[in-house]
Amino acid sequence: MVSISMSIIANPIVETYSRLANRYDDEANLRSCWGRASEKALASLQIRESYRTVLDVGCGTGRALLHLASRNVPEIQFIGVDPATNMCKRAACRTSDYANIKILTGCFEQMPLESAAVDYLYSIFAFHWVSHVDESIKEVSRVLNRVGEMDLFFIGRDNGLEVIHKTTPIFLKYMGPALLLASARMRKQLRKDEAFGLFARSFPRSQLSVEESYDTYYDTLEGHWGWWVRIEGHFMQLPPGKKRQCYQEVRGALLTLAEDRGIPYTIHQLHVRLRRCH
Amino acid sequence: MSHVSEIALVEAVIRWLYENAETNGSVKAEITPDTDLIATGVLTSRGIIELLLFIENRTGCRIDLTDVEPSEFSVVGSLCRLALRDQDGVYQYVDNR
Repeated sequence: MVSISMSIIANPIVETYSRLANRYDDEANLRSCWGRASEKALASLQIRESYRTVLDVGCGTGRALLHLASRNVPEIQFIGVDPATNMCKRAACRTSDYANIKILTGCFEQMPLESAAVDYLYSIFAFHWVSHVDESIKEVSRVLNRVGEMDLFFIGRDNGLEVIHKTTPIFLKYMGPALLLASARMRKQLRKDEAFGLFARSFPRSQLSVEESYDTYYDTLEGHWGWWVRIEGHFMQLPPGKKRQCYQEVRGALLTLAEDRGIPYTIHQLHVRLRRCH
Repeated sequence: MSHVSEIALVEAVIRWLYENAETNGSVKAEITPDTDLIATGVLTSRGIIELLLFIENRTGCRIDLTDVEPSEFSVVGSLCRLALRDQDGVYQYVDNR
């Protein structure tokens, strides 16, 4: 292990998500590539009538829960789990009209649920924020019941490369090597085979699959800036003045990527799917 | 752990970089000891983490990045020197994983 103490940064991702919870549903974020990719993932979820307990891990402000609960029978209990306190508050507020939606504080590593309590678990762009991949997968396996199914969407190893190549020299300049690497370590970006291997330690290989996709989204500078709220946690250690300068340079660098269609950003998505034999 | 010479380490790192560059399979420019990996787009911060792990495994030394200058960190030759400076020092590698 490279000798960068994680004590440099004490879970700034959760803290930042909580602090910025009131901005998370801004139109700019929802319309951004990440907003669109999230909608696409959500639209692909299929809730079987046989499910009785459905769990959303990293539920954020509860958009997906509300969408699913409003389209399915009230006998299904929906549970949302999120580590960011203010995200939980917003989710609870948003879903308060639904008696069959419950919001709990928790995370992939530690879910406040009984073992084998869940029929279906899904998560949209949250799993890459886990601190401990192995522990998280074991915890997912613990809460799912014998016939429980799962869809996890998260970013892969090569996510956003075109933008990252442009921005890394700037981040290095402002953050320095130690902080830059500590920041990069906050995201777990797996390759497809690596993800399959890790999940196969806890689930039968024959019931598991990992689908990989690369989708390039084009947008304006302001359009991309709309999702910056999602990665603010990386820059928490920068003093405000330095952060402003850094962002200014990043915006300039993003503009150099502009094509006729806009500034590209390629989302490398992994979709881990668990299906039981019925 | 036997000592690794700087030349051998630089060669090994360059070989690793040709196999693992984050340039969609094609490294356009030649990689030399003077190549700045980040400025030339050969690696991102994630790639650097993987490279550091490779170097640590190769040398048996932990790389301490405290007070390291960005230029020292992103250039092949100086990164290798950085890794080797502690080969006999206090940062001998202990694998606690």
